[in-house]
Amino acid sequence: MWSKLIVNMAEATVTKLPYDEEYLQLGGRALVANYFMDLVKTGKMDPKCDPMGEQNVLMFCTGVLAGTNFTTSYRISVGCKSPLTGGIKEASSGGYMGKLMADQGYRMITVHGLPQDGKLRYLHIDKEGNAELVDAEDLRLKGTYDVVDAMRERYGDGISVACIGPAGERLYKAASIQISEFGTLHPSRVAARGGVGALMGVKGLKAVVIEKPTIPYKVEYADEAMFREAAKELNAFIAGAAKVDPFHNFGTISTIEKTGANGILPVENFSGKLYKDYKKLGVEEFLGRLAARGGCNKKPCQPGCLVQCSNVYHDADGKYLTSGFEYETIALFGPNCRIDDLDKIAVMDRMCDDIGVDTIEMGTACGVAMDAGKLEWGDADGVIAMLEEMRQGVGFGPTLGDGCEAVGLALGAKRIPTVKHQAISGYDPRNTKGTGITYATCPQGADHTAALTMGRAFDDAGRTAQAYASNKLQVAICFSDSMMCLFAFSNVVPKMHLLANLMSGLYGGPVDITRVTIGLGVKTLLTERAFNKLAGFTDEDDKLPEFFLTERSAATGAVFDINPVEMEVLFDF
Amino acid sequence: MITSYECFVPPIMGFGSSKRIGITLRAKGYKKAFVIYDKGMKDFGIADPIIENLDMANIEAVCFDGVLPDPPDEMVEAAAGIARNSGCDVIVAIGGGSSMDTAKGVNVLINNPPPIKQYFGVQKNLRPGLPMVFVPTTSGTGSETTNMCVISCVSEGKKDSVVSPVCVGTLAFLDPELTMGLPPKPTAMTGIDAFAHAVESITGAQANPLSDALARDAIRTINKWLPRAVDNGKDQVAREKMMEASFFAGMAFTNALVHLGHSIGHSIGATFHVPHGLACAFCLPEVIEYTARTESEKVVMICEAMGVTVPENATWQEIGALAKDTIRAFIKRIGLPNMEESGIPLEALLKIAPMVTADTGFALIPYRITAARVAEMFRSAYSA
Repeated sequence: MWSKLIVNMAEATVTKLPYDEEYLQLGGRALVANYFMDLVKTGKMDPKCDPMGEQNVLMFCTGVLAGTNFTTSYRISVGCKSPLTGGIKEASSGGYMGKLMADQGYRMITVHGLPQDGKLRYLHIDKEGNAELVDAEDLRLKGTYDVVDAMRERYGDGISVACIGPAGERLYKAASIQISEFGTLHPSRVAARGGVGALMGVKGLKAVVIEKPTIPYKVEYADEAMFREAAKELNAFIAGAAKVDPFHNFGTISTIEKTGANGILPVENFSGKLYKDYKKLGVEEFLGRLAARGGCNKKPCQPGCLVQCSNVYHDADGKYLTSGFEYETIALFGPNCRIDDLDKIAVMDRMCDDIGVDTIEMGTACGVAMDAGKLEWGDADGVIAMLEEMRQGVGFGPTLGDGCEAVGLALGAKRIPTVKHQAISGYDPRNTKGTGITYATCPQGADHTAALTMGRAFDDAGRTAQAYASNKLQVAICFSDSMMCLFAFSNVVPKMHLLANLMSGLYGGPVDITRVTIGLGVKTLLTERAFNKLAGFTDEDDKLPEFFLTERSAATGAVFDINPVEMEVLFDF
Repeated sequence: MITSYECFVPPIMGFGSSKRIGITLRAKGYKKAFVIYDKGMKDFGIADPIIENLDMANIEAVCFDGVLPDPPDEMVEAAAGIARNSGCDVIVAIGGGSSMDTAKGVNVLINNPPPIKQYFGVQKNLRPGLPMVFVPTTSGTGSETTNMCVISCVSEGKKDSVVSPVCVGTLAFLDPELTMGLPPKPTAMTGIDAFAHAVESITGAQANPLSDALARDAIRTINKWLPRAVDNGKDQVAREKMMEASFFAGMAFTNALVHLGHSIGHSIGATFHVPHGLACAFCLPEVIEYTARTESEKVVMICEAMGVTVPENATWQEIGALAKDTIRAFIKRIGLPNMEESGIPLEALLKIAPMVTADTGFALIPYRITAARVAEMFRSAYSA
């Protein structure tokens, strides 16, 4: 039987309990939505509560297929009421944690209350499955790379680490939780968005360290043969599709080849311009540097991954610099700040991972700071200096740490690219309007994984079928985020019906795809929206910043001209 | 809004124009035509004169006369098998939407392997086929000018479309003479299809000034001339006007696309085997009423094109209601039955509401509605 772990920071206790029967067929994003709605329904959480107060809960959970051999079933989800948006938050990440949590027999770890003694601790689960809170004062304000090194020294290589850096401890609203990769242990997989690291910080929890168990937990199947047959077919299909998937062959950086060409790539704080030199940040340049300096791509971040989109990036001297170096980081610190020095952007990525902060918030915040005259366009060293101030908690650092909107408000900026206080990602919503609809309406706030519709409507910069594409994808991604990695999911679509066999083989019941599409998809979205409504969100929160509606994109001449009614009715099912 | 204008197929138009097919195709250098039509075309004496006309110009004809209504994928694949081995250098389609859609489906499969259902949706990278020449014999489908073909997928019991440059014709002969013998009922059913193209494209998300102008003109023309063509099939002016309106409406929806009315039409047509135009007409008043919420200015245009003045301060609800009543009165005027009169059971009808929201064309509707709301439209239209 699956277990859950309840961590009480007020009393510094850890309790292991059987996992709730009613949550058995939920995981990832669906579980987060249901769990937090249940907290509200049972009076344990006021939906309008201070996200940094004692009522808020920090949850780590696995997907619904964790423990199986289905590829990418070991994503980890971090859930809470978001310190950044004030609404529901599920921050999804790869890395090794999901696998070890499942091997330890845990589907969920919930962290409650605030420490009474102001002390910093970490949660340690040993090889035998014993869990305890350990004093972490020696790690105070340490970067995440140091935290991982310290844990490796204590417990060896067979561990996963989820930790915060100085940003989380300083309670910055853009603080992330960094999660170590499979194999390398680099803390470069990230539950990045919504300030989840700030909540971990206020709870005085520096890290969650899980050792590989002596005896791994064995999943109980309702019909193991059915599950294995479907998983085998799906795994083979995904492996085949991955061979021609640019995310496998190059990494997410390959996205810039499309967005740079068609004006979707954000340039100079979402000015809507084209960026002439985007190829300097393109696939050829990237692969050339990997080959010349001893880095690599095609790395899995979790065991069993067949897409293998991750990478290791070395500096000009051939020394490790960063890993999990992704499109969003490159787009937003890059052309969005008029920077096209890949090495400098890699330094920023490494700093953000080490400080424990969301690169999307940082890239957009720096773009806003440049737009407002705080820095010159293209001043990479200025950005690096500002990130260092953030680490130290001095100067402009704390403002930057609170993310894009905080920076914009502090500088009196006119163009602040956020929705629900969260920065929009590396896609200009005028030139991929379905993505704009997603930014506006997604209960998670403007989000880079919630439904990018690029290439899925007739004309990315036109109106036709954009709402339809956003609706369909938002639902699909809700259930994908509840069971697997989005990048594997994008290759599974022609055989999607087999996801029903996986659910049925694992949990029994009818082979019915609506258990996935409606049960984990539509219902999750509606629950998230209901939570946000109780938290005080209104239709006014489902809007893009005004400048996208009034300023033409210089690349295409488009404004965001989607009829508001289309967004109002987007979630009518 | 930024838009691009799509103008696909140059037509040769007017009474007797189909008689130029032989000399025109010879001038273009074609030698062997794969001629597609249904048996009715032969029985009504339409196909043979055209084939003879080709023959006199030394263009050999390989005939496929097995076109079925709502072209089933299996039939299209069989025809394509014949065409591929025929050595033809041009395809000629004679007939209504079914013949032209069959021709387009055949053309998709000339250089792309079957089954055709794998190409449903927007296809940008299909290998090109042969030049296609269309000779429509009804005024309604507009298929002669569009870049899509509608095919019935037998195994899945639904209609879907291939949208591709491979579906675009090279030439069309719009000869109203070929429509003179069409009885009142099919005249009304095909004519209302053209009307549906016009009112749906004017309220569609891709509408542009060109498609609006074409659609407005088509609505005006159909409103005036379709009742006359129904009342008196020998009225040459009415037949000519209807052919022109059908072509204009076809060009309008090539630009602007159709939406909910056709999703409903496809679902009803596939389930209850109702002719396409009629299936699209059943709920058209409700559909246009629904669009008024976001497209009220366009719905005003429709009313005005139908000769109805909309009060200046009318709300979108009032505009929608006015359009609904006007369009329904028009449908009745041309003698089309409602769903109850057509023998469609209400319960079975209500059950297919989710089929409408799952239709490919649902992506194009002006704003999202639920299956429950579609069912409300069904109820409203059922006995109206």
